[in-house]
Amino acid sequence: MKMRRTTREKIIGFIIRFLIALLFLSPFFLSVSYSFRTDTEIMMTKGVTLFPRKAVLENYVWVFKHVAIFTYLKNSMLHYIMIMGAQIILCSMTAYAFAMFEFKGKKILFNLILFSMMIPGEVVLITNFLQVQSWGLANTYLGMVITALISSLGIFTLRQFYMSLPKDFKEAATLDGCGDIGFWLRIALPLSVPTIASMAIYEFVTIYNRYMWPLLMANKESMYTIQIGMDMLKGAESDNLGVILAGAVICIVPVVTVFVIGQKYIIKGMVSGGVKG
Amino acid sequence: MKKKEQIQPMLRRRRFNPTPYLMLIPAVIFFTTFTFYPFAKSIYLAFTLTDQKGIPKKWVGLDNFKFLFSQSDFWLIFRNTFVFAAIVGFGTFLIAMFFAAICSDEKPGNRVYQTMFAIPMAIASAPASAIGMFLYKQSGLLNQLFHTNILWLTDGKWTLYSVAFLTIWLRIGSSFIFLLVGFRAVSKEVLEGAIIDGAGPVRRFLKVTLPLASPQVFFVVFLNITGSFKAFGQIKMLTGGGPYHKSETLIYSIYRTGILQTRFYRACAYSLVLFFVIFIMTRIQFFLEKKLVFYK
Repeated sequence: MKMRRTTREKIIGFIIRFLIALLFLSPFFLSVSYSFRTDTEIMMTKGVTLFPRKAVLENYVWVFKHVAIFTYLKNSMLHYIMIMGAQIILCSMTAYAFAMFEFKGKKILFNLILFSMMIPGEVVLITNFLQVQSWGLANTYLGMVITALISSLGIFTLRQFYMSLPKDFKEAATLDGCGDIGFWLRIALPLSVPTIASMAIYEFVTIYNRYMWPLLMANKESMYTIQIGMDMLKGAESDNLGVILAGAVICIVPVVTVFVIGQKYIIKGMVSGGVKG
Repeated sequence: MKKKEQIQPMLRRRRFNPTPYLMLIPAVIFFTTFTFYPFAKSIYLAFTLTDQKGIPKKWVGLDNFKFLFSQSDFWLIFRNTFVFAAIVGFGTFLIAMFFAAICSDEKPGNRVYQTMFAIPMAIASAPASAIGMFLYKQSGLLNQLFHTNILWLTDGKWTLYSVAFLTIWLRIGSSFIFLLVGFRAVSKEVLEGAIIDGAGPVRRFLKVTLPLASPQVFFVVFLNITGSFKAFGQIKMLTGGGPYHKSETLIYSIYRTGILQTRFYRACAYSLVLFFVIFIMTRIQFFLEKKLVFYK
């Protein structure tokens, strides 16, 4: 039986897999490498080279000088804080009501939320755009986040958590004179902090990467998120590949950092929300 | 009637508690305002002609749809949407399956390349399109690497595929994770049994792991198909749907007719078509899932 593998085979296996992964990510790594090259070097290079002959920062300098990249990043962060803040309050509120109470019409209201998931945001994009614009909310932060303030996924995740709380907790709290809202704010919500934290990490990737709705809402440069700013970079300095790649790298680094650090939570959130549905 | 009589004493005994209703008000308002009402309005607008501000001016019945269905462009876009979905759906699945298969046995050090396979899922369409330009430009990476001179982003023969391959790259990460979870859940005993029966690694994977992970396999294929219907940024930034709608899918048509041309009535008609496409796909998914998926 050759079932036992030797250490050497293991190491070779690891290296082969690592090379496959490296190849898979090569478009990204090469983008980083090319973003440190001068324009002339990019044009003169025949074929593909892994490293720049001389690494320069001029593309990054150009981006920071000519594009309001910090404004874009600030807008993206504000975007995230507003959506996440609203989602934490509204999703947990809704989830709590569904998990902790028996009331007339509960099933109908719950189905309402299930039905809403059957209508993708892309299908109602145009009418939402007309509506939000007619309220005068184009080019405002509120307009840019308003369609994302609740997520059905968030409601389901938190509902699942609240339903797992032992009934004794509630009874003991009621005996001590703690009302429904008090129990939510003082006990259930604090207990759900780990769930909310993993939701917040997962949502960072989603919200930071939002593209279509902010594109429709923001027509002023001062309102652009980093994604929209990226898009405009292409138009600004049409064919300068180094600059465009530098912009892409600046845009990708924060979100990939969060992803790598928080991947455990992101994967947990994905898997629990996904396959069951 | 009888039922009511039974319920009422119970209700009387318990004092009516308004708290859950109050707590649900924001959610109900939100979903009504941003999902149900706009959906109803989309249906309505699709049967009218609208002005520049999106206000309906005239009821035209089915004319908008008749017009769409008589256009060869519409059928090209419709076909593109499905070709794109098929390439993205199965392409992503096959590559993610390969990656998940080589990572499925848990070993120390796995975390590193596992993370690497997952990373593109964190990359948004805008920076991905910048990377796409770098790959596909006439003087870009692909042409340099293969000594070709293909116009990946402007030649109608290639544009749809160029966008689709970039989309696959972006989508592999999440599919990889779902499949990895599925493959790892396959019991070691069953696999060892297969080894004793003399099945090689490939056979073991095809005959044991894959069927046992069929719920995840199914989920991933359809996740990517429905996801591909919503792929917008890369189409807008790489090809703009061109040339001559050759890389345009329904989602881009909504944007083009609604936002670029302010023909909101036509954009709403496209929206409804997209809705039905997604709706029917999810029905097919549920139907096939019941029939084909192997549950223990």
